[in-house]
Amino acid sequence: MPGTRDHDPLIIEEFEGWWQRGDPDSAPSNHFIQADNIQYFQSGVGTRDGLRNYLVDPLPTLQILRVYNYTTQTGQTLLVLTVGGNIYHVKKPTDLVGAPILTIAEMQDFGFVAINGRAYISPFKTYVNAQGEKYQLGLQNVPLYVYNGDGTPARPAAGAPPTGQVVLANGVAGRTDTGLHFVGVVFETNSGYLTAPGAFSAQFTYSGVNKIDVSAIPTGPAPVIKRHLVSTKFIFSYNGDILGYQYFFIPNGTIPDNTTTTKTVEYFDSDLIADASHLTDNFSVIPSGVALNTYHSRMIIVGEYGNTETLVGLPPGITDNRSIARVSFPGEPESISKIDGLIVAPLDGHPLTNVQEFRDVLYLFKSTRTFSFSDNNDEPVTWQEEVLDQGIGAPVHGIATVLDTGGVNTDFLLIADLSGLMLFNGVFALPELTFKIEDFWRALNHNEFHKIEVANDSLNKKIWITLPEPHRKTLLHADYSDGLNPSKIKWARWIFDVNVFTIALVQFDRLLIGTPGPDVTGVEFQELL
Amino acid sequence: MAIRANATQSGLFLANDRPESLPLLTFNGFGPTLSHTTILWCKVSSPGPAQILTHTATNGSLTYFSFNGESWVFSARNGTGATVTYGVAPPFLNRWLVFVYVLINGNDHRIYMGAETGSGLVEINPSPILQIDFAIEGEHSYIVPIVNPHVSICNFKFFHQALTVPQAQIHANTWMPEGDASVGLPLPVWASPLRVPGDLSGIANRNALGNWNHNYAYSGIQAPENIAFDPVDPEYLSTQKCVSWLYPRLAGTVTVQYPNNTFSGVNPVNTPAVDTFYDGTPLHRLEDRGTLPATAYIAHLFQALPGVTGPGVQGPTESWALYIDHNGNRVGDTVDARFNLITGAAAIPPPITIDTIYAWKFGGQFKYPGRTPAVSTINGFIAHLVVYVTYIGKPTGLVQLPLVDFAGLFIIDETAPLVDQYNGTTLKIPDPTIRTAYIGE
Repeated sequence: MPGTRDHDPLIIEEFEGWWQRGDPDSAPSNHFIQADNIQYFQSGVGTRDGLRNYLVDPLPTLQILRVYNYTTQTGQTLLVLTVGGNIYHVKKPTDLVGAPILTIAEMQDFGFVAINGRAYISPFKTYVNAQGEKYQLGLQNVPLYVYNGDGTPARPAAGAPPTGQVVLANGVAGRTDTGLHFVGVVFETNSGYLTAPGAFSAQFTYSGVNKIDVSAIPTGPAPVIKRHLVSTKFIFSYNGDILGYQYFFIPNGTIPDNTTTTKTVEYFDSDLIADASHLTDNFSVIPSGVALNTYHSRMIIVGEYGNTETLVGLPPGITDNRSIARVSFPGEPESISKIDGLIVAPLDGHPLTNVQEFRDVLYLFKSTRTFSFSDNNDEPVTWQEEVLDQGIGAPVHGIATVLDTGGVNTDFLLIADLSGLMLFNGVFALPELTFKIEDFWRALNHNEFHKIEVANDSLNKKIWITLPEPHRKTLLHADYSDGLNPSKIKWARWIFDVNVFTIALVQFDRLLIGTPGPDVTGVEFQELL
Repeated sequence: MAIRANATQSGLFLANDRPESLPLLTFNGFGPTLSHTTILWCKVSSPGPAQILTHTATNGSLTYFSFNGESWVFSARNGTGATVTYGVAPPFLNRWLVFVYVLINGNDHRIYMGAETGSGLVEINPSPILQIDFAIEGEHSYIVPIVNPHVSICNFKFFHQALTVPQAQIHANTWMPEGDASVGLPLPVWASPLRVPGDLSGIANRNALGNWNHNYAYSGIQAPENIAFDPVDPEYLSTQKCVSWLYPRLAGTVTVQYPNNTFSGVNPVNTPAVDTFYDGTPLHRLEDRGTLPATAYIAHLFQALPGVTGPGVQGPTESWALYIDHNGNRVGDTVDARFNLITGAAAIPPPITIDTIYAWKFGGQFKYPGRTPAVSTINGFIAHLVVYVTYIGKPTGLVQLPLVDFAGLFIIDETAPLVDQYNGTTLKIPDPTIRTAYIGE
């Protein structure tokens, strides 16, 4: 009865979700001041969906810390990190979980990117500075790993050059240029990585009328599947610096196995076209970081602590390479030049936390900084930096992955900034998508934002976000089916009996939850009602 | 202490953390059919009303013990017939009582009673306190304690005899009292660990439900058909709460008896040239997971009876414990795992810890001594009867689960019931703000 006692009825056209901003009395009438374990649908709201096991056989018990979608060339699989620093490859729910593919006890988390079906795995952990601030860097002296996806253990990416010395001798009649040459060997691993040249020969003067017999060609460790012979052109006067000359791949100088130790070659200097010199400057052991990604077919690593090779000659007081991003050669993810395959972000004391390509621009993130770089078709060290935002950044898992691709690009990025969940489409859109629940978001512990992980189900227009303590058993859920803007997005909290450490979307849009279990040896049991 | 059970022998054995120090508790003067024996322990700590209900809902038959503050009365009703009552015993406040249902044959139901003595033993009166001579559908199925806060109940967990071991494990891994009906299997009867004072009082409508096989039948017990079972030492219970058990059924154990070849199992046919171990399958997983948090290991008793049944043949001569730990690793073939038929002791191998006990699998293996030339083992006999595990839990009123039950990968399933299922344990979705709401037209 409208107007009775001056009271007009409230007309609610749609549930608009959770509101936690200001005093509860200020919540709009079509919002909830509490919205736990509910989900939204057209003109309604109901209890969230239930949870069930993903793996048919849950043994061995996997106390999950991190899960990534790992898309191989034959399908979508999972890489999971468990307590104790074990990474398992879960190929499908019905498969038994085999032995871990990588075990590093110190590993608390890992960065990951899949390139050409191979998984690149970067172990990292959380450090605490003197002010009590937590930050994440790759493990010191622990390399980047590569996993071929076939169940064999992951191994350090890249690889050491050959050692020893090949022996040259005149062979049967043939045609070459005359004069002093050196010959060396390059290993090729099963991931396509070419090592720096090594096992150089002694000085040898070509006769010009003989083929060259190369013997004592070293064999490599297990990942080596091919070897390539490289050669200098004619050296008029040898100066004693065997690495100071330019080496080229010898045509037909490939040994397609890791067993044969002899090879006969015949070539003119003019046949030496493919330059192998750049391999000399590459890392044989790539330092691990916190985040991996690709940009223009290059692999990018950020958040490096460093190793004995990269931590040399640092200024006083500097102990790590936290602001350096390593950039590989295009199409060769393990070939990273120590000289010019890097980008140095502004040295403001905060480490790089994330990296993402968006609309042909490379973005590097710190916790509260965003920088952009563009490929100028020159070496990465020459790429021009632009400071995009000095107040907004992203934590290590704070950029939303989209569906089960493992990627993050739709036509926008969702980024969990300290100030809220941001929509990024080239610029950060304000207000934040978490406008309605700003009090909740702002109360989150800034020191624990590395525990935030965001997943974007663009098919069903839903977002899930893991949260730090004391909300470790809570997933923040958003429904943006009515619009991806601060006013139309609908929030809720999904609360579980376990700690939700990590999430992923599988089978396109199925939400997968990884948990190490409850935070005590048992959880209170709640009878079904 | 050895624990034995087969078709011709029945016995009750006291079990606690010092099993060898306690005498055997036996029935004197009769041999109840093991397949129709049910035992219930009860202790009343103050003279308030209490009731222990045995109920089979489908035809209305009903039996129950009730304590009126002064004495116990047993009542029984056959279907729609009148209820008859019997005074059964004095109150025995603060002492453990044991009621023993036995179906001798046909409709000959007998109930025996024992009470805790001053020495901590329980003596069963060899004369039944009452004898019922009419059919009670389901015999002693579904005992449900309806207790007041001053009564403690310790009872057991059993599974429907028709279930295979894998099927039983499906139910065993489900917290739902009625088991997992969705899989279409015969339903087990759920049993509880010790119910401490006040535990059941919070269950809504617990007295009003007509069918205790569903909903809130939290403490139902089904007759342990063909099952080896042990009551719990009342003295032990009075101070240490309740232990939990693993009760694999005889139907799921292994007997190899050639040439009949009616059982699956192992028989090398010809003796091996060297000493060889053969698994006595299947391996059992702890079935009462989800009832108590394991806090201490008491004992692991494994019974396997190797033997030779024919002259001139050779069979297994020794039995050994076999474990599969929570990571799926086999632990066996070690001297420590050898089952000692005298003491019942079998050491826990180092990789297994109490924290992961729920995920262990237990079984046995048999040793065939090597022999050259080979000798037929065609009549060799293996009986793998019982795997028995005892550990301590701490029932605090809220049942807890171990960490391993909640770790792993889980997926939101919009097609599944609105519950959270963790490794087979089902929990309600924690307190949704709203069940369902629609904007009206």
